[in-house]
Amino acid sequence: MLVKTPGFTIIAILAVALGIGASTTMFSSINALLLRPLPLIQDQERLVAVSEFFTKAPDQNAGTSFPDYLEWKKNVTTLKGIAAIQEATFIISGGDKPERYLGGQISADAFSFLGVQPILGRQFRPEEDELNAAPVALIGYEVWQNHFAGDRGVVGKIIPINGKQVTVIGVMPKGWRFPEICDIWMPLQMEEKDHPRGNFFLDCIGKVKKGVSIEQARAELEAITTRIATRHPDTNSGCGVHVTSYREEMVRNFKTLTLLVMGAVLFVHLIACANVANLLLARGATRAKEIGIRLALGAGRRQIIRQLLAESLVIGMMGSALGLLFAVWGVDLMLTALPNEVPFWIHFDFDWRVFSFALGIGALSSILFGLLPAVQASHPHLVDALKEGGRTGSGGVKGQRVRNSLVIAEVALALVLLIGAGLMMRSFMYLQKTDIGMDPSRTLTFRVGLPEAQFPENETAASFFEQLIPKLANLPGVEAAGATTSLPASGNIGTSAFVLEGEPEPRRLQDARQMRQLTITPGYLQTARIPLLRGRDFTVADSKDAPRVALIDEDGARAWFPNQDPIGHQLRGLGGQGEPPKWATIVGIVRPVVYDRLTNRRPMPAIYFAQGQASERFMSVMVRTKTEPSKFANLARNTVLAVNKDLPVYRVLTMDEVVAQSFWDRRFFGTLFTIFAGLALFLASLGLYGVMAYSVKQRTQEIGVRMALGAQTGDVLRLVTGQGLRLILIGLVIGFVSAFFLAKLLAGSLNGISAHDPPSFALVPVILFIVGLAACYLPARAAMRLDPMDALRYE
Amino acid sequence: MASTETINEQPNRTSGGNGSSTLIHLDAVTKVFLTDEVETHALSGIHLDIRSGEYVSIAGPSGCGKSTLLSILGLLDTPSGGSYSLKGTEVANLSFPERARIRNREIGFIFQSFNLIGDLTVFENVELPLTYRGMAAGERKGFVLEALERVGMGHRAKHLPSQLSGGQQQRVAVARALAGKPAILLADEPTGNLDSRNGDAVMALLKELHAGGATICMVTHDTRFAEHADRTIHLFDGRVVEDRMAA
Repeated sequence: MLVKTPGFTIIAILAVALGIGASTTMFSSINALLLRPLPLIQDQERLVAVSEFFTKAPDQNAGTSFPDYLEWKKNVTTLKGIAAIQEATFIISGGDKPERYLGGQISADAFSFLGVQPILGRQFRPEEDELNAAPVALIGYEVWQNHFAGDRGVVGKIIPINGKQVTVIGVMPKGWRFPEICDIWMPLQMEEKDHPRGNFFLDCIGKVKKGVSIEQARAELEAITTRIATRHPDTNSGCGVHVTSYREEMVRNFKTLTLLVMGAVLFVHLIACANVANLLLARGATRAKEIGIRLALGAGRRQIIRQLLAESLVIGMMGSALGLLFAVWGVDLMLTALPNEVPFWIHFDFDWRVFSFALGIGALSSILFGLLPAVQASHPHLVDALKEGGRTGSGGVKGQRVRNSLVIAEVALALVLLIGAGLMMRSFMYLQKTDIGMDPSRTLTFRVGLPEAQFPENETAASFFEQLIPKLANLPGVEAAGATTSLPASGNIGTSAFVLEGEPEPRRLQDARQMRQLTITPGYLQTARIPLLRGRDFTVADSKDAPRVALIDEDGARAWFPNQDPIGHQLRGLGGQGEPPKWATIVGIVRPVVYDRLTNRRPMPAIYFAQGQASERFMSVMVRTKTEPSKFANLARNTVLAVNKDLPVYRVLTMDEVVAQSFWDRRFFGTLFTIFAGLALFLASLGLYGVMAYSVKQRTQEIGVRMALGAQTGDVLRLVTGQGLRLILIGLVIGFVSAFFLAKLLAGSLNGISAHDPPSFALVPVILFIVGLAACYLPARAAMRLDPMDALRYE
Repeated sequence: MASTETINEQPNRTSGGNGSSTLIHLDAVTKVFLTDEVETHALSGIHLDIRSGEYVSIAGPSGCGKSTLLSILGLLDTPSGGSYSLKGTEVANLSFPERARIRNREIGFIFQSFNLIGDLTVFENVELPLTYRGMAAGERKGFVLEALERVGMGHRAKHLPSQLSGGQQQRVAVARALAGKPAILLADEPTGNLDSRNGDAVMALLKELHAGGATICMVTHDTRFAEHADRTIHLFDGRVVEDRMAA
């Protein structure tokens, strides 16, 4: 029967394929994030992420201090192992041009307890964690292939990494970039005096012993952490420990949004199924005579239902096959929309789970869209069906009611999705319009790292930037140049504790004044166009030997110096045990700038130090250009190489790109939501159109009678659109109420608007109403054009 | 027994000629259908006058053009040639809205298959033409009840058509045709879907309406029912071949 009605069959398969394609695309994300095992790691269900936190902000991981990590490692009995890792930039020099890789300083035993072996060479040895051990490195497969051309003799080679001579001891397997996108690993080689307690910067991963639960491990680590806090109240008082499943921790930021979009996609699929059900209902009505004959010949209702369900199953399975194809494109599209490199453990490839999902949802959908029409079609009024040639099957009042209900459901589902998309897009627009306190236009940024081995003294690092910045500023087409440790809106910034002059030193670290601390070069404020509100900017005269100076932002001025002029006051950072306190005098006040990611803002005052006095080795350089900034990338790179030929530049981005990356996830999920909501709108309109067109066909004779009785075209228009409008309005009311409650699920993913944002809730139903009206208008226009003579003759 | 008064071969005009005013005047009306480049002449130069108060039946074999003629008379279709005036106004080439307006005010249709709207009650079905006229609800109610009373269906106003017999449905259809007090009732095989008893009852009803002053033009292929009319026009191959008055 499906072959005999190719039009129906193609439309039904396409509708199902669209739904399954969208669902499978999103399921492949769920699979990649939540279901697929992490590559290469053994017993991964026993992996835990361990991090300290402050009871003041219990939802946020603070990281782990090196001494606390050592205490855990020494005392914990429930873990098979615990490792610390700090991501770092590794620059391999010595070749034609220096190459920068993201790498990790990691506990020497980490890969052993994770169960991952090098494919060449050996693991780290425990003693290689010691500070004075000979420097060694494991390299990733890509580095081995690209930098060493796959040379099997690479093991034992000595290469300059960050200016140090490092021995390559092994090559890790293909695809291994633990923890996310690292390519080179070196042992921790840290000392407590360089990384004192209270400096929470390490990420920790552990593996619970066989037969031990995560809860038991958590209890033990909590007990150890409490003991540490008792012994070190100044730094660790109010400090707790989070012990969570490693997988859960990895997906924490994306799990909710991914599941929400999956929910949205299932809504789209339900709409597609409702459309197919409507098509099947209409088709059942036209097949009443055929079914009547089968029943008259002795077929049982079960046999009829089975036959019709088998046809639905064919549609479902073909929809699955085509949907898988759509999903291949969908995943490709999704990946191209991701702005950042994806962590090594996320793979969107289709495995048996994705195939099973596509087939399973196809089979389930077949029952979903096929059962009701099959049941309806299996009991036509036999006498009428055989006599009239099939206009009484499910084309009757009951069938019409079912079709109407399906369309109402489609409109309601589409409205929920559209409001969701509206909320996400409004939130995205809010983020896009956020004033970050500087002007990101026509600004190029890049990162430069000065390895300690090459720049052992702070002064050499400061002098590098003193040379570089004027050279960049004097390039043709460049207006200004400067450098900062953290770019605005990048989120690449931590907090530091400070004390103001005249104040007692806080007894506990968490009681201290917290602020964002940055080091900037002269010219940064001008380049970023951050207004200096009072006082003065840094100059080259603010060198190591000059009195230490600082700038604070207006938020800091207001919070810490109410009703007084902050300029001339002094402050200093906490920590640096054993060192003399470094007091700095406030010399200027600047406009506040957002340094957090825009989606995760924690408003806090900022303090700026001069690069000449608080030298930093890793800086983001900012260049304001007169024309398109991205065209200056090569010029900037060559200028850096001209100052030092061993320094690569990396993370070359315009400031607009930095800002966009700061909320890429909101844009990404917002766009996905909008695409699926658009699809829902399209499918719901198609469903509405289908039902109205079918209704007009069913009512042709009635319309002819009405015309014969004097109905004008306007009366016919009102008759048809009125019927459609009733369905739309009921759907809108149901959808509006549902959206009102479901929108709360989005609350955590919205910025700047509430989950019940009035413009979204007011405007979106109007859009859906207009589109629905247009979908009704087409069949209404066809009805208006009916010739009353033909309509009266219509059987 | 009816007697032949005139047997007019076209182009002679056919008219009842009972002295009342001319309601319908057809002059050389033709209707040509084009199907697959083949011209079919459904009507070939019809000249016809119908006066107010007449009861005319149009008879003839299947395919002779009687339904086409009735459609043109009812402004459901337009003639290919000739002129058609209704109450002295040329209506052959009016626009769709104008034709709809005249259908609504001047013409009452009675169909073979009743054509009641299944979702509407008897009252609402009868009310329908008045609704399209823009009449106020209160006024409509009076007209509807009066029409239903005239056909003896006042007690069934709240029923749905499916709850009525075929004969009752056709009575409701007659009430709907009457409700707007049209100038003429056009009945297309009004007994075609009824058994003989119900058919007789409907014919009696039409007769009664005619006696009350209604102008009726009825298409039928049943000579028995054709003879209920004062005047019978016989069509053959799209031409009037006989126009006779009842005795």
